[in-house]
Amino acid sequence: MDFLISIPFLIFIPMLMSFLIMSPLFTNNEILIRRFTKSVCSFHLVYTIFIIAMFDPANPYINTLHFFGLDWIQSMGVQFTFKIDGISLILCALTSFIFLIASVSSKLNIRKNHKFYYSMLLLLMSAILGIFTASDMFVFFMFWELELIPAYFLIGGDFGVNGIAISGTSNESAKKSAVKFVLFTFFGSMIMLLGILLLHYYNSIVTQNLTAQFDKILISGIPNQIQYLIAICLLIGFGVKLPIIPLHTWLPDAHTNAPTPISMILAGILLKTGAYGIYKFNYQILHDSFVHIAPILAIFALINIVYTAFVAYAQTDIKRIVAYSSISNMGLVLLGLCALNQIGLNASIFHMSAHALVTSGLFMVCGIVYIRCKKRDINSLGGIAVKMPRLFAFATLIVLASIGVPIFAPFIGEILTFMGALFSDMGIVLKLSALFSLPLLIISSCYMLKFLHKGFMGEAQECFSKINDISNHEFLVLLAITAGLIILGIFPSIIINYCTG
Amino acid sequence: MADIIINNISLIIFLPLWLFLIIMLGRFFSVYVNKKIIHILTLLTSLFGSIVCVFALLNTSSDTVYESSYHFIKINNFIINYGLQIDRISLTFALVLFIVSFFVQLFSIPYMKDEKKEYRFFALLNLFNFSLAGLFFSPNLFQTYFFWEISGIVSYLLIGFDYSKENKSLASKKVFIMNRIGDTALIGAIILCSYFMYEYAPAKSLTTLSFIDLNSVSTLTSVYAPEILFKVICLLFIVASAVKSAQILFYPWLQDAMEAKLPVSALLHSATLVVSGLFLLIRTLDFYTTEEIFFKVIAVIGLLTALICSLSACAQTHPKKVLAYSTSAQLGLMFFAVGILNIKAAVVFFIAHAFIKSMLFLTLPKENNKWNYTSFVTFLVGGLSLSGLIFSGMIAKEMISFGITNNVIVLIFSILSFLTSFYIIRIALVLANKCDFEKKRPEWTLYIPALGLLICNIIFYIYLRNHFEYKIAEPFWAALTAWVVVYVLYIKNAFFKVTLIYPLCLNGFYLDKIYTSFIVKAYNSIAYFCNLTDKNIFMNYKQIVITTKYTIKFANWVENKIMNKTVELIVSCLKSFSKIDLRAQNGNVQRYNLYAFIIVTTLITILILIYTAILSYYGGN
Repeated sequence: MDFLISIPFLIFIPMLMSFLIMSPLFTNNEILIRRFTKSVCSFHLVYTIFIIAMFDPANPYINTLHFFGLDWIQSMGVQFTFKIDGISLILCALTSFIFLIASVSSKLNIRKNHKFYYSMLLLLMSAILGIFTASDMFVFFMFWELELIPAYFLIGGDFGVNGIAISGTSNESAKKSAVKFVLFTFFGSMIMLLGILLLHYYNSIVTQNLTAQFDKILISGIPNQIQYLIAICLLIGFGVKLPIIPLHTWLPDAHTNAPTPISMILAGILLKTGAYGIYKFNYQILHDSFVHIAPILAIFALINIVYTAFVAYAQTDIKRIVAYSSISNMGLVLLGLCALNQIGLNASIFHMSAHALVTSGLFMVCGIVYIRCKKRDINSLGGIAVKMPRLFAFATLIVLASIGVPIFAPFIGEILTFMGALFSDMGIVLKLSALFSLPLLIISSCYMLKFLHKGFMGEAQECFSKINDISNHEFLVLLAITAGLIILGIFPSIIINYCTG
Repeated sequence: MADIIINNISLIIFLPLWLFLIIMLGRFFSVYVNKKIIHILTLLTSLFGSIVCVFALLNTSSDTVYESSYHFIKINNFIINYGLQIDRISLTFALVLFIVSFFVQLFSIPYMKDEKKEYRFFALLNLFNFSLAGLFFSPNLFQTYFFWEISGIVSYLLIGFDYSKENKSLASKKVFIMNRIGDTALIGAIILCSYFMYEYAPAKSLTTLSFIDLNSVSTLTSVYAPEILFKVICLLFIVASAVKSAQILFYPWLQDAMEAKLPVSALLHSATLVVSGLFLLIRTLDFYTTEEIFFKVIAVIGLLTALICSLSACAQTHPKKVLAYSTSAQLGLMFFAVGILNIKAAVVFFIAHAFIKSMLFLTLPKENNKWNYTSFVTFLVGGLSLSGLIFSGMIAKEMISFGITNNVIVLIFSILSFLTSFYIIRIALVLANKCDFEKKRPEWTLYIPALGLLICNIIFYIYLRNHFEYKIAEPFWAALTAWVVVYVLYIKNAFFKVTLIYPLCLNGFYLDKIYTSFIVKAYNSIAYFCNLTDKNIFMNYKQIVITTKYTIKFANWVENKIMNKTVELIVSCLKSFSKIDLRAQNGNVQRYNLYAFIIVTTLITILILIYTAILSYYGGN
């Protein structure tokens, strides 16, 4: 059975399929391509779930050893290796789930360049899976950079999205925000690369061993100042993706201008790679320095949580509200990591998964509204609940989930985060930031209810008299998201059992 | 015996949930479910619930705490379980819930007859029963919070039931956000409490925060723990209870909740949902035992609310608003009873109030101002009972003031009784004036529920008479005077308006206006300020672009003036290249970005190359 659980299979299948779609021999038929993509994603999801079923969280050591060692750059000791532990497995499953629903929801959103779009989608999936499973710093970095290429084209590419919505405008703003996204991330990853190189260099001096493997790096001999320098370099790199507050400005633009399925992927998965990077590098390897950095980072997290929640309230574009809310939620993830204890880590991983579901659901709702009403301004919407009762039901459920109501998953994530930060041994700062981030519950309900009430409720408007309720595939996507939220909310131990890192 | 009771209690908690799921999913997937079957099943669950509660009340002698083996969350030694705590208090609260639910559901059948979304209404009523029953039987704070939130959600969904009406959806939003303050206070109290028990309990273990642990630990640990933490926890608990029970500072939400349909107001916002605050107060009461000051705080909160809300109720002309203020005021009396540690009186008063208040709601005239004599008479009887003149209302009120010797409080009590009688008879007369009385008998389902609640009231009265002692004191006479006074005034047709205090009362002491004009505005301005900073400081992409541009221009200049000069030298030698097109100068930002990209990539490559060289050098050593 062991040979089935091979990670190359997990990571490279989407990439191969992406090349397959790209090849001129492959069909040009839109429906066939989409079906092919969907089946790849669903196969991948089933396969990941199969691995999860085989995985034994009580004895992770045996299960983490499935890698294939391949010398990549011999002079630097870089090996092409991958490993899986409980956390990366959870994130992989999440990735394939989000990509599956994104490819299903591409039906109405993508009108042009199908071949290119779906191959880029699968390439992005492969890159993200690579980030979550890499066990070598340079392999990690390679996938981190590889992710940029498809992300750039998916955000800025011309897929006829804006053409349907507002006739006459080109996707100039989408292109601009794609450039912004790439520049920001590239700036971050430059500094990150510096950190990785420093880490590699000093490790090789200390251990007399050229290696870039995560678990072979010994941090103990490296001078403290250098450790801090490395930690901060890496944090800036991950902080762009996460995003931590002064580095967040690419996010609202990119999320707003990208096509709906891409917004779902960006907010659902791409942001989580930043948090995963912080966990992998700062939390695990540079643990000594993270102990001292954590309180400062917790303050950043607090600013993320409260400040962006206020900003979200002031937005008038429904997609922007959701974008800012996801920054706020990523602050919670960061706070959970800063707690540096088991509860905090679990909370962080759990909230990542919960937030991935919620935010992709919210973007889905926004996209459905946008396609139907051709508007995203919250003041000119309103009254569509009467016309679209099914969408309204799902929107209500997802909005309630996002403000942390029990029986939905984000509730568990929020509570565990607060608990973790309060029980943390990192001093009074963590405890205080846990308490000060509590008002998030009120603020988030303010902006989310604004979204729901202004966007959907109210008297029916005449201009929306001809819109239809959601179609079957949208129904399926929303149903899958809501079911996932409720299942995780009622049986949180599904995820918590696997986070034993 | 205990097993049977536990199983049945689990059943009565979860039956409404199954029913909710059946109705909603059935509608969602367009499976035809007969309306009558929904009605009968809903009524049967409520009836079954009340029967089980009565049975359990008669058969339990001691408290039962049941912990299931299913771990909701388990991280190391941090475990949250599902469980049940069955004692007299939880059974009593659940019994009242199911009885009132039964009658209100019976009333809703004809009331909602013409409504298109009737199935959703009944589904939500069932969900409400589930949430509140779960709340009353929960053995620990986490489970309490779980159900506490769900009940809040159901209230929100029921108030905004007609979401296409602007005012209703706004009211539901306001109610939800106001309740959210209490929820946040509760969750803050819970996490602080668990921290407190983890840090200062002798065993230093993470417990599940069960109410039993809470009681024992608080006495053990308050010696070692910092005072301030303990006080904050107590205060947060009180705030959470006060918000849910619409006490002082928070009573405006109950007024907005009156936008809901009549049965919803009768069930949620007068009899059952609002008392969950009282329930939490009683459950966490042992936590305060070492801090006597908090009992005084609770008592003062209760009395102040009772006074303010009774005064406000006197000026209202809308019957639902009068009843809403009255609910806040009566809950204030219950808080006061808890504050003077007269728990028994608080619970008795809660039961009596639930029966009376829901009956008053169910007998209100219809929206088209049609009333009938049966309802009018029942309303008057309920009013008499509410003002403490007859039936269980009388005994309950006398029980609260039974042991009080302080003259000031007795005086306040008399005033309160006077005001209660005053507003209730005043609104009855106002309504009688305004409405047309129908001659024909109404449909039996419309007045049977109110009569049923009246019968419950009388049965409870007989039970109280046999089990508790009481004496008729000053408040009773005050209430009686009020009836006489109002009646005389009514005969003389002179409804006086005390000019000074009247507008104050009419607007509910302007609390709502203060909130909307001050707090909401402050909130909005904070939000817009944040947005402004975000836009102008963080999002100031232009500055970055300009800086980048200048850098690129500088690079360009270097390239043109220095590099190219060198090149041109060569070029001038080879004249064929003299017409080279300097594409870099065409001012295209996109292209500048590309240049930057190429430069940066080259730099990285060089960096890696240098690094590899260094490595190989050191590797050789």
